Amino acid sequence: MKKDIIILNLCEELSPQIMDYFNRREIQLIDPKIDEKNYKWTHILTQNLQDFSFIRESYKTIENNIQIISLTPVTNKQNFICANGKIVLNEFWIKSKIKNFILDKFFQEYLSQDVSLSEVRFGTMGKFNLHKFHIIGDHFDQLVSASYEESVSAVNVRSFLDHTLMYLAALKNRQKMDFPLEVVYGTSEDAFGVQFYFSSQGLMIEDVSSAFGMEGNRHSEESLLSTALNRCDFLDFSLIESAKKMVITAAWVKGGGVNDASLLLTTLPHKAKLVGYLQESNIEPAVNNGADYLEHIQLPEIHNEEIRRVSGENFSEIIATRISDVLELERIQRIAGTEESEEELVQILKESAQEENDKIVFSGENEFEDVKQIISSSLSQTSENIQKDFINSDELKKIIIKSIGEEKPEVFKVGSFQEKISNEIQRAIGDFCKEKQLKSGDFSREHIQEFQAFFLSKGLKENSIILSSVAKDLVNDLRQRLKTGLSIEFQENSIETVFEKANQHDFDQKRIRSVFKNNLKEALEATFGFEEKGLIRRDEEDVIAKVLGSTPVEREAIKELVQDETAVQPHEPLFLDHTSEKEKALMIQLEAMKKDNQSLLEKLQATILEVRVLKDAKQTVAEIKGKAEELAAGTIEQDLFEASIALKQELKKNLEEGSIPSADKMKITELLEREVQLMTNFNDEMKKSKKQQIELSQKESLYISELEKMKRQLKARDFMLTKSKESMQKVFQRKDSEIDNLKAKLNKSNTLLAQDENNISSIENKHLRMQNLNLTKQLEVYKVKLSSLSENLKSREKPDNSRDEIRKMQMEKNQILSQLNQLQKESHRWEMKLKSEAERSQMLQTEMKRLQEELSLQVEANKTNMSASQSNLEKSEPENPVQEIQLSHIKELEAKVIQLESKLAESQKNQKSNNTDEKKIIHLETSLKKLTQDIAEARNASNELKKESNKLRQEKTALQNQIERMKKDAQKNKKSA
Amino acid sequence: MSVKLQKPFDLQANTICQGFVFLQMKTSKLLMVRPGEWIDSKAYKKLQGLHNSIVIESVVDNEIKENFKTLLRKHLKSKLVSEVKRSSEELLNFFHQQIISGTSFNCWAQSCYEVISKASQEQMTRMYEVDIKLLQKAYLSGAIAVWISLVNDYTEPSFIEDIYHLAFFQDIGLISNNYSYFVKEAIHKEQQRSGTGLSHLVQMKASADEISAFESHPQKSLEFLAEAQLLHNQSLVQSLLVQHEQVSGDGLLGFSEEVMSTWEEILVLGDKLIPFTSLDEFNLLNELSSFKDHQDIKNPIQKVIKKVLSFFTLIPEKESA
Repeated sequence: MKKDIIILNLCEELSPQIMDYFNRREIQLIDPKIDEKNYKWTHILTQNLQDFSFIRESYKTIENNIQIISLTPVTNKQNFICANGKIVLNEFWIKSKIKNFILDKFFQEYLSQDVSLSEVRFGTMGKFNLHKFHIIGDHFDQLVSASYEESVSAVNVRSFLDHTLMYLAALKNRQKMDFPLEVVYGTSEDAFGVQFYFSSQGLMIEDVSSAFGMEGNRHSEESLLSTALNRCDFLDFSLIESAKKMVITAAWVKGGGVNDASLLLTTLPHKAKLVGYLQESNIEPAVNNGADYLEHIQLPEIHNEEIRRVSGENFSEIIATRISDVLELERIQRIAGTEESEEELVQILKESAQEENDKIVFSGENEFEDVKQIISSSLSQTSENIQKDFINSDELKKIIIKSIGEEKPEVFKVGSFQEKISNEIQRAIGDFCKEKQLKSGDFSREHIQEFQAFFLSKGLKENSIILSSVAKDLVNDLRQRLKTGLSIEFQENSIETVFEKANQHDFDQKRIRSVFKNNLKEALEATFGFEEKGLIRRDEEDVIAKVLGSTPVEREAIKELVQDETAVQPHEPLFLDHTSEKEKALMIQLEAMKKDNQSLLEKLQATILEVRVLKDAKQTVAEIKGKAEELAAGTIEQDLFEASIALKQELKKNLEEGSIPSADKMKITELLEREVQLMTNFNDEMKKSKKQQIELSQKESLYISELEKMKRQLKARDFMLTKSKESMQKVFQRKDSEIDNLKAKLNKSNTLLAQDENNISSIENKHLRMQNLNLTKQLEVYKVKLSSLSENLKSREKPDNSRDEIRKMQMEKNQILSQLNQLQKESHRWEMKLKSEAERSQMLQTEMKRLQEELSLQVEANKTNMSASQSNLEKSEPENPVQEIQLSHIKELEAKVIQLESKLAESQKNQKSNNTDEKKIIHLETSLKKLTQDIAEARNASNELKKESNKLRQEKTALQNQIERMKKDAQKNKKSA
Repeated sequence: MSVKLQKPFDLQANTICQGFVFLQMKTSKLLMVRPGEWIDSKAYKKLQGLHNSIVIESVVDNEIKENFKTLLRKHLKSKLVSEVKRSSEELLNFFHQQIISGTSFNCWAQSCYEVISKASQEQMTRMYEVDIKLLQKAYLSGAIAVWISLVNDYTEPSFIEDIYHLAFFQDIGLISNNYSYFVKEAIHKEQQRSGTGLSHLVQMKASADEISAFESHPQKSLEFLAEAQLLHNQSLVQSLLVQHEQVSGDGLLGFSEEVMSTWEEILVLGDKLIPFTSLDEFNLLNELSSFKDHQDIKNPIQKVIKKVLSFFTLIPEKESA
């Protein structure tokens, strides 16, 4: 192994196949409770985990390049990839033979180079290459046909190809992909595979993850790869960064049966041994036995498991009618509610989850995610904060709750969180202790970390109820509608009084149910759009039942009503084709009249409401007046006033008499006090009465003006009513007249139809005549055109001076060309001759050398004749410079020939490029002259060469003679010796 | 005494212009030049034993060359998929017919050169000046790459032009003042066995400049092609780095065969089939048969070799006929 693979194992249990692979490759699996400081994780193994942002933050997966492996399907691929998620491998592929290949490929960077090439790879069935995106039809058709032959869903393959190609086009537009694009497809024992191979520059992981958005997005570009992935069973993205290459492989399991697609994203080393899944083999390409996969595509059947078809137009109305008949009035009152608070809505939804008391209720996905984050962060804080070596479960629970309370007190506002979280943590700790066989007081820091992973992997989700946003929307919408609907119907703002009335009178109950029915229908339609889709999902049924039913029994009853197929059968009119136009017109008229009636009714209701308001106003005015009179009376104060006056007079007399008894003194003081009190009371009352008088006068004026306004409005309403009546009458009259007209038209058409066929034939005849005339006119035009053309042709046949000139030019050009060719040939000949001369000179040189060698041998043999041989050698020496000169001459000539050739080539090029240009011809002529001069020079040079060669020959013969002489001398010397 | 073919094209042109068979006695070797066709197979077999004492050289037959050129031009002008397919089939049929019947590969090479090449006179002269073998190899490599591409269904006209120039200029990076006998030997060794070029240079105690010239030549070739703007699809220049003189991952730049794409393997095979040493007597059939023999051991160019060697299935039919 090149590098150690250390995997942090967050899985509960691992399949034997995976364990077998890890053991074989000596890969270390580390328990999360072991301290990270001792090991540097290279990978994290997960299972049943959906949110990877926590792992990303906790283990710094991006910063430390820790790759995440998931052994279970991942819903949000984008989240997974962004957290450095690299492989999602589901059970099918883990159990398959190709598992080793996939995992070897994934760990290739870490494994030694001797990883064996797997024998289970796909054999190639066909391949093609693309240089443009739009020339794909035939290739893709063949590929999809091959997949169909291999028992793979052709629709899925086609869809995958389309989406992948669109993704590649997007990459190309960003200059991150280059052609050619190689596509190879093949098959193995249990799967069919397709592989794309192309050059790719500067590809980032964001370029991949951005196309892994959730499906169903309105922006298709954001989910191109998600769609492609969901159309296949396995998708592999391999990037070889150093070679700037990208390989995309998709595989489909034969016969289907895989629920979730697996994903692999790898960056391969440049000496990668395992890249492609397809290898060259002898598999014959799929034989198309005439079966066209398009002929076998069928619409899917809707199974009542998840989705079923409903009568779009009537479904909402039917179930609303039936539910409103069944539902208790109290429940309707509860839904209509009194306040529009979020808590109230949540309360209604919580009622539907009453049977699951132990669970925490979250008002939505977002709330759940927030709480989960907070709990996990508080758990990690807990492990940091504890001072002891060991901690018991209760203490741990308290610390967690306390830290949540301190850090995020707002979380406790969440529905049942405050009540239930304690139990939830208690239960999780209990489960954890059971699984790990721990005592409740034996928690160490590592255990808390482990518990954190355990808590996350188990998930709060299992033990909590997350209220769907759809249910909330439905309740909210229904409440709004009900409130306005009931207040209009009963002319009563308070919902409570409406229901009080309804409890007293059966008639009012019926009215409430009728309003509820209408509003429920509208709310259902607005939330689910049954009319538009014509489909209902199982979860939608659950939402309706949960929102409307308060008890499990009620909910079941509602669900049954919703699911009752016979009750929701759409009404289809019989003999649709036979409805006459007249009937249709009458139906339209009726509908229009209905609408008019409805608008009139609404107007009437509005006027009644206004009248009621006026009456109320009158009553209040009368009450105010009465009160004012009462106040004006002021009887109590008047009595006091009279009594005090009598007392005063009595006291006056007493004072005048001068005899003031002590009792009188007391009376005086009492009287004075009374007077003061009376005066103050009088003053207050006076102020009050003044105020009231002012208020009354203002109110009177206001009411009078409002009354006048109301009177005017009433008059306007009356006027509008009379006008609308008149307009309705007019509409009726107009419609009647229209119907009469239609009737008249029908009669006319009938009579026309009844008329003799001769009329039609006469029209046809006229039409034909017109056509004939047109055709004859066209013929004439063409004749004229033809004649003009023939004239033109004749005129062209006449001799033309310019043509002659061109011909002459061409002739001249041909002559020049032939001359050029001749010159070329001559130059070639000269070149050949020069070469032969050079060869001859070389031969002469070699002969010379040979002779010299012989001479030297002879010199050695005859030491006595040294002087003679030396003189001979001296004579031969001057030949070398001559040869050198000759060689230099030859080289010069060769250079000249090369120059000539280049000139010739240039002249040829010029000739080819601009044949018609006269200037070029002149240029050619001059170059020709130059060439002839050059050739003449070359001839002279060759003559000189010839001369030189003759000289050489002569010298050679002289030398030979000399040698012969020397030989003879040598022989003589030998003899003499 | 030995004869050096300074410019094979010129020699061939001469012989055709003169319309005669060029036959010359040497002290040790015999040069046989046949216009447009090989000597018959029986004679060839007989003469094979005398291979050391005979030099056999082929020349271009004008008529066949013109036919090749017409077919090649027709193919390059094709636009519709069906047209491209038809014209490539036509071209390959004619090519195989001619090669089997003994026509010189030079006919094809010359027609490719005349129809496709955008190489300037200056570039050619520079290659010629540095080493005549470089020019000869470029001339043959381009032609053979076009053939292998067509055989492997890479028929897109623009791609054909691009692959020709990629093969033609794949070693242009060698042109430098440091090009020497040792570098030439290293190229030859590398061609024979991946990864041996550099070790040879070290073993021969080559200078640092020579080693650098050898090591940097793929990058220099890439830079040259990127600057020259001769390709329709400029991104293909990257192929020069990936394919260069290696197929097992042990070679010059060390990319493994798994990493290579088909068009890069085409370039590798185009390079491997043109031995640097015996360019004067290049024989496609000989080279292919020697390559075929190595198949038993292991051939790393998996993607392209199969279809190229299927060429041999055509030969017995011809012989039996």
